[in-house]
Amino acid sequence: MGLLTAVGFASVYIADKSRISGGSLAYAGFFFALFLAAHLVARFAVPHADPYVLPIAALLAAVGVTEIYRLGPNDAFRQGTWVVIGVVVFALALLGLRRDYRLLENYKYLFGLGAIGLLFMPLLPGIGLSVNGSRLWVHFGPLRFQPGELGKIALIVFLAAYLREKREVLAVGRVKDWGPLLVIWGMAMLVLFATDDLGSGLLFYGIFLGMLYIATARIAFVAAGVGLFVAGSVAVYQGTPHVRERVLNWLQPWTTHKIFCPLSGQPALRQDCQSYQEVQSLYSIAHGGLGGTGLGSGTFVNTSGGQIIPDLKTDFIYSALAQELGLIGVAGLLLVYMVFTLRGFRVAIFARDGFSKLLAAGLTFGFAFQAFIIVGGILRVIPLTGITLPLVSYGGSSILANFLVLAGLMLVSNRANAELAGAT
Amino acid sequence: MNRQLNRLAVVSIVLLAALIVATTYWQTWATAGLQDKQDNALQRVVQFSVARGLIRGAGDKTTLATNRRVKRGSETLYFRSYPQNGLAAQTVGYSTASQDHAAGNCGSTAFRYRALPSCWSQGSFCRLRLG
Repeated sequence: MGLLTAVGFASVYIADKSRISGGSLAYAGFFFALFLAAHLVARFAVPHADPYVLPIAALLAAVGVTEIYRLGPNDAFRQGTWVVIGVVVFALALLGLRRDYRLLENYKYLFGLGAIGLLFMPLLPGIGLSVNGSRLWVHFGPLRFQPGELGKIALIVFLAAYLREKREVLAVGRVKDWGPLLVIWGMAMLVLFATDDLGSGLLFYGIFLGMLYIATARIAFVAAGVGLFVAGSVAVYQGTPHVRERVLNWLQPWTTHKIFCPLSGQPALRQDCQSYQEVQSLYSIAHGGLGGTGLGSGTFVNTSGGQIIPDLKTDFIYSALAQELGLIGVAGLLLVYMVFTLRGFRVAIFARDGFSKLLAAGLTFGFAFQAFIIVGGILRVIPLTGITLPLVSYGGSSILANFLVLAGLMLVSNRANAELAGAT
Repeated sequence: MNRQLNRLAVVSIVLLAALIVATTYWQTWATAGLQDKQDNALQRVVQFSVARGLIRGAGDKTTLATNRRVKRGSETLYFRSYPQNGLAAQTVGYSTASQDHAAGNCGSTAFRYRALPSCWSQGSFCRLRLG
């Protein structure tokens, strides 16, 4: 991981400055030391934990910081700071919960209500902040934070605890046991639609259905859930211009005749207005071809120095990576996500108790599904929704939440492997 | 629960594999078509990242065309400049700048050159003198 980061930073530095310097390796050395410290804490706190998930997470974070450094060195410093905070939170979570993380189960309703509270925060006047039409942020002075990222983790903990307790009765369909589950989940979805955060809405819905299927083994529940989703999507499409625009951008990003552009108030081709971002992102991906332009050698600014693709380092970082690393590079990146996902599900399978299984599966599926939603949106597999690429995109809240996902998986795997070792 | 976990793992892997397939499509089959699109802002910039050669007049006394090197972020762009303005335009060609301010950067005062969108769609340089 340290070597790969070093090569990445050196490549960006050389492409930019046309010379080799030891300064280019400072970030790599720093990353290596940071994750070595994380590894030592993990060895002490959770010695039986899965040995692969931490290096994989470190690799993804390093890829993200390298690309962000290439797009803007100042942003890389901020992202690096968030990675440090993420690793500290990761270490604290391991040390604090290493004896028995299952005590979280006792506070399930607190987690459920906490998730709603976190999701609701951006709607509060005074601290709520709207960015690009979505009300996802809160700000305290200069510090901006996306509480929904932590709300996601809290909701997974709630679902794991509640479904573990009620899974038998839920499977037979007793209505009264569905109450708390549907109320908390329904409120979460309501808040997400109120904030126009479609990406998180889809993510939460997917996590809910996935965990429900694991707990009840009833494929009919998933089918009903998908049916409700389709019906809800049609209703939202009819009633919400924001959603209709996203779907049209997905189905017909290019038009040959001018249509009304709400951004300028003038007639324009859709590719020059609403779908501009998606279309330019596809051009960026296509430009990468098989081998890419090389780290640091991509084209991201226009002739006047402005960025061609808005939100490149957050929602569209995959487009930047695809251009510079090419098909070979980003296919490798997606394979890394696959390996992380498989390791996560392995942790869930080897866990002994229901809560641990559901927790590990929820965290893992959430991680994989989030990657699918954003990259699938960029590649026109599904409509585009603004959400971060886990551990790679720029954003402190996302980094923090994903290090908590990592800590959760390591805690579960540590217990499972320790029990397995004790049993043999 | 393990059976359900295995199935959900398979679903997750299929979703991620679909992304590799989609990336392959955009980076191989669709590439040529996308490069030819007239609104492809990136391809326009790429044309300016090529350092084209100096063109001198008879006896090497007059510079007819040269480059102006401009750093934009981490990228270096080369804008064609014609110190003699339109003196040898028929011989050395015209500016390929498609944006007004870029054309202004070329230092031409008597002539302004703009590319027609259709030229970009054909993937070729515009050599039309418009003004």
